[in-house]
Amino acid sequence: MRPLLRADLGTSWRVINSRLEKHPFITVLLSLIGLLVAVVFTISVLLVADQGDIGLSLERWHMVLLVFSFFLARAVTYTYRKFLKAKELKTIFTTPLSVMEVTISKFMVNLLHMLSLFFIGLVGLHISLFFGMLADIEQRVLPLPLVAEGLGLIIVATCIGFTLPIKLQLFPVRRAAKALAPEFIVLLCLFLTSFSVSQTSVLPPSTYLGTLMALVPASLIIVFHSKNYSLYAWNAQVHKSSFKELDRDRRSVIDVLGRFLGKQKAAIMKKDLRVLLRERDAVGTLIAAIGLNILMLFVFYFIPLESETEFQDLIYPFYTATGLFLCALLAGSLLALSTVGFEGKRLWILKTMPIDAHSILAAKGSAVLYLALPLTVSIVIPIPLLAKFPAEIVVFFIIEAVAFAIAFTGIGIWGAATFPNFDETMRGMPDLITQFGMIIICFVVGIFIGGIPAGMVAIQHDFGVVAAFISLMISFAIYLGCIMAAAKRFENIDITMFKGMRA
Amino acid sequence: MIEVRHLTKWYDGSERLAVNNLTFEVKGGEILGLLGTNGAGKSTTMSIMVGLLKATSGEVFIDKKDVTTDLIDIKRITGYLPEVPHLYDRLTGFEYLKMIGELRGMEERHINLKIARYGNFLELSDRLDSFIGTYSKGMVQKLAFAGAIMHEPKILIMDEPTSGLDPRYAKRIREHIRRYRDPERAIVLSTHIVDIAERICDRILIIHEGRKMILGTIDFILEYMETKSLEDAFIKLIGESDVYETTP
Repeated sequence: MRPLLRADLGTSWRVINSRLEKHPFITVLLSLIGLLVAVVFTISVLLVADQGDIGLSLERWHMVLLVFSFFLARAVTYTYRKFLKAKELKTIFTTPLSVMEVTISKFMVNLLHMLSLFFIGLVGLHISLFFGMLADIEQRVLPLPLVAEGLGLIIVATCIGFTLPIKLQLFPVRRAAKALAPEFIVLLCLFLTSFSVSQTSVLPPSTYLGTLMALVPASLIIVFHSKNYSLYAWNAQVHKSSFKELDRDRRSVIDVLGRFLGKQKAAIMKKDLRVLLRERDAVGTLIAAIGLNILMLFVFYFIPLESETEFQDLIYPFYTATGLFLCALLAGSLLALSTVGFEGKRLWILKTMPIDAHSILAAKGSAVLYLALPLTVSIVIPIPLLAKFPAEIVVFFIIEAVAFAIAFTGIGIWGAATFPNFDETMRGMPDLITQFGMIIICFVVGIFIGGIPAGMVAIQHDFGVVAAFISLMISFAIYLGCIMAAAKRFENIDITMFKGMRA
Repeated sequence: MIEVRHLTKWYDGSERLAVNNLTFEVKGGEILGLLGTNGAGKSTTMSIMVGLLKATSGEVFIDKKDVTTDLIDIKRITGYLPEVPHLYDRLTGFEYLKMIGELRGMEERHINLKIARYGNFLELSDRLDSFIGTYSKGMVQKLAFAGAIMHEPKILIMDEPTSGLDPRYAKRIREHIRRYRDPERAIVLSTHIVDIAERICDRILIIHEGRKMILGTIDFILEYMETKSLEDAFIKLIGESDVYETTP
């Protein structure tokens, strides 16, 4: 088990080193931003723990939910990339190492990664405390129970984040749901205790820490037990061994969607949608968008956003706009960003078909738009309706959602063809720096197509709706321009790039 | 039907030319075999012919159309099978062939007919509703072969078509290629196995280090090289040392 651990940790270290060598400035900048976020995150926890309130009606259990979700998401991503999608495990599974040893060593690497994130945040926070940079907090060292709480929370989140993707590979879904029962029980215990301690006086505060500490060994047992599923899950991802019989005469929704495009474009669009859904990239985006929607509703109901300034009326529109931007970014730009790269070594198929690059990318754009449009529009409907925005504002948000989805998808497609990444392990996503660049581009475009009409709608609602329509036209032009630019880039992709070897 | 003139390809950072001033033509009704060792430039030549690679210099005409300017028209009449056909793991065999048929502009009825035909011929019918990711290497090769030929292309370009197949299916595919020969069609296939070239091809082009060593019928090559077998001619041409160097 030790050589495996050493190899994994060594690889992680070398990846950091190579990033530092290739892009030293941006890597340091991103690390500093990450450190800052970690410190701010921990400070929020500390403030809530110390004073119970930081002006946004955030309570302790809200923070528990946020911290837990962050580390859970990180652990899930890590497990997918480093375990379930790891083709190099083919060699490892043929060594005398048992499945349990491989599973546990992968979990250990995952846990070490999470703990290092936690300790970086902790060190940063202590530096801030030491130099008295936080005026509200007088102590110089974090109280031990709080550190223990953070530690416990991260261990539980990592355990659940490790077993969740493994068990989700089980087929049929009924079997997966049954296997996930222990995880549900742990989550239920954690949040019920946290909620009860925060919201009611039924339980004393120490109950929460006690429960958390009891859940740590329980979660570790769940990880240990997951060894029974890990080989199956790895096979399902790497060898695609789980499948079901499909009815070839059945007309699916995907086939119906294809009717709006030409025959050739429809063929590519259907293929992309099927692959995205079956590889669960799109499912991940769908879950993230639904999660964002639920989080927004949760904040709306439980954490009233209030300000004593004159900007009180703008808080919820701004809040909705933020959700709109994030969802369009996630479902439009970031999903589209992988569409060329995920072809990988299969790009020869599209490259040898009698279809021009423009049509290929338009088809890929359509596949992403079919997912991004409903997701983005669904984000901007609940809050404006619940907050009782005027009808013009609701219409304004719906038009803007369509505009954002179209423009961001176009930008994503351009990015996909300009910075294709044919590394199979990355599932077509370009490196972190390119993704960061794309987010910045989307942000700037977002200000242009969203900010200006928003300014107008704040002054005069009707003018704002007209401005939103103009934005929609502009975003469509951006989409078409991006597809054309992407097509030129796509034509220049040759076999030496996607085959990873010379013919 | 296929004309390759002074084709040269140089990869960035490479010390030598992958294809060096290669000239040949393939007439209708002919099967041309590109024979050479690994890395001789066979796959590079084929990749340029189907538009996967751009040539450094030289010209390729297929059905009198220039591959640099009329690529879409050329792709319409071409079928291509790469050496290692990577397919979409999460599509079923049926979905893959249907997609290829639609991209080739075939009618739906025609697509289904062809899928049924090649499914039976290659004994894939039972697995067409399973994900390609569950297929063996040979099954993927058979599926890719069906995808390359299902639209009945005028030009068929295949890189090691029987690679990964057991002798039974290798023979079946070899025979099918022979049957597919037609005055209106031209077939180019590459191989590094002399036996396959001997059995299928009408003419052989032996390539070594990107250069044309000899082009002609098997009889012509044997007579010219004064050898009894194509294998001996091949070894004589590329130099025995090259072969023996790789033998322990």
